[in-house]
Amino acid sequence: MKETVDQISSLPDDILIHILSFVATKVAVQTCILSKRWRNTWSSVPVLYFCHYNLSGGSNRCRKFEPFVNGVLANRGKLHLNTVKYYCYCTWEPSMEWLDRVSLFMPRVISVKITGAKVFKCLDSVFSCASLERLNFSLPGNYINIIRPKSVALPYLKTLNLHCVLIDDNLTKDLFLGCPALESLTLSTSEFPMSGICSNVLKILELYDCNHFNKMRVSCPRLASLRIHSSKHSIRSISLENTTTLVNAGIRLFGINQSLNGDILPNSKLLNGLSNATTLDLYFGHFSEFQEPWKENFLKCRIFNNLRSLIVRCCYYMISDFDLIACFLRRAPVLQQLTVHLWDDQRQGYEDPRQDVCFQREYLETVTIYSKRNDLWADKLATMLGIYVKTIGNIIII
Amino acid sequence: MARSSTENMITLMSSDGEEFMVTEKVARECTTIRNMLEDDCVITNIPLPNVTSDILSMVIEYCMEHVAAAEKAAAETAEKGSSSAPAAAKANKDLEEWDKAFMNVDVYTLCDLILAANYLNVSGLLDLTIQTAANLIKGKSPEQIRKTFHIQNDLSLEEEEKIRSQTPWAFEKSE
Repeated sequence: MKETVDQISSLPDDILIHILSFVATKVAVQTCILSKRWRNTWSSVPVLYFCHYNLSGGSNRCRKFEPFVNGVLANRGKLHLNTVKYYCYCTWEPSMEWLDRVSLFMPRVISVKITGAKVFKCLDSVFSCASLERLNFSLPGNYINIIRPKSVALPYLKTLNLHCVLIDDNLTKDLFLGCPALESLTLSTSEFPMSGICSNVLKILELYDCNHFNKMRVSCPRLASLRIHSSKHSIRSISLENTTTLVNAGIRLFGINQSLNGDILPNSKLLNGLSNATTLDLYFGHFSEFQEPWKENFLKCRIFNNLRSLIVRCCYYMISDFDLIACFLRRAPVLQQLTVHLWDDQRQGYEDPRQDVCFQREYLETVTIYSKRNDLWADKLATMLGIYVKTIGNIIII
Repeated sequence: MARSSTENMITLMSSDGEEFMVTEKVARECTTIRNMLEDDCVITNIPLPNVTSDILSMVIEYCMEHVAAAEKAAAETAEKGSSSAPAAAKANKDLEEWDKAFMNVDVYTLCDLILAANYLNVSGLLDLTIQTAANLIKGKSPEQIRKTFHIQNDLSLEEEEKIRSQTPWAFEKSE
């Protein structure tokens, strides 16, 4: 019989609140009519998850969303908030006044995602919400969203993620001045009419699909992790300065113009900045034309003295012309793990690699080769590695 | 294994008087017990008046599985010098699968496990059980939640209507 006993209602308040902090606020609020026991439980839940999809009513649900958000904020208890997540797809501009109200509950995390309509309203209050440790702002991708906070005062902010925002030198200056504890910055699909990112505290920097109008300079003496992924054509050059602490980096630039000139990536200012890393994840380009500048710059830059794990993403031509991988085998003395992701470049007629080896390295612990469909090339790569390396502990072809 | 025979054994006693012999390592997964052991290192017999034998045996099963998984991972790392990423990912996935199967219990047992995990302070088990309870609530109407957890509605129809009318923003008219 005990299976039909109402055991959940006998759990202490803090556990019920903990459980409700994992469900959408819509569902949590409605538990107020489960029984007398549940009447006010929802009002202490420190996590709010507003998502317009949780409301019914099709196209009409946007109209219900705003009263719902405001109703929750007006009726919940006075207890501090931990996290607020807000997701809204609107065909007209959503009112963001709820952000003013949320700030009064001293949240640690605010995550806002708006798709559809452009947001004109100032989002100022969130930039002066002093309790914030993490802020995610994702704005509609079909506009260039301009944020111009009057002031930025986020003394505890450690993590900032911005999606689809225009970021210029003024905003970066305000952000770094106003967020003295900022350790992790992620910018995605943003416009970048700015000259660089310079911070003495930043440890993690991630740039995804950003348009760089200018040459971009990254100068962060505490940076430990860097990711730059982009398929945009506008990237001209990235230079890394003061990045001796960098241990983990991933650079994937897809859309670089084939018409190479002296400025364009990969330059030695980028490669030198990566030279202390222990883990690197590099994309070597789709075009064999790209190979020469990489090689040239490699020979100019420092030896990768700490590099233990290297992930290379490339097409078959890299095997046909093996020099670039060979460069790494030579200039990364403590390399243990080499992972190669082979991409099919649809081109035919690559020649077999030349096997005139001018050096050999002693040992590699693990080689992992991911090949989408052409096992022949994976085998050729394994053969080449076998020529350049005396002992390979383990070769895995997936 | 010579090592395990010299390992300290601890006896845990459930509220209904059943005794469970476990290694100190497994017992230490419960922060509450770990604190007791650190305060008084010669303790070997711990009564747990808030936990019944069927629930205690499940908590121990959970702790043993997770200790074994951690030991296996540590042994692999020691053997190879570094852990290989795919092997570690697979081990994690296996443990997740085990957790999922372990959570295949009725709601009454689930609530008892939450209480025990909370009292014994087994953070992994507490997270797992709370998340499982939350998943049973997610996306459900109040009526469905009552049914799932056998919640007795002690509100009269008028009281319920009153709450609904006081919070119109929370309850949409049914379409």
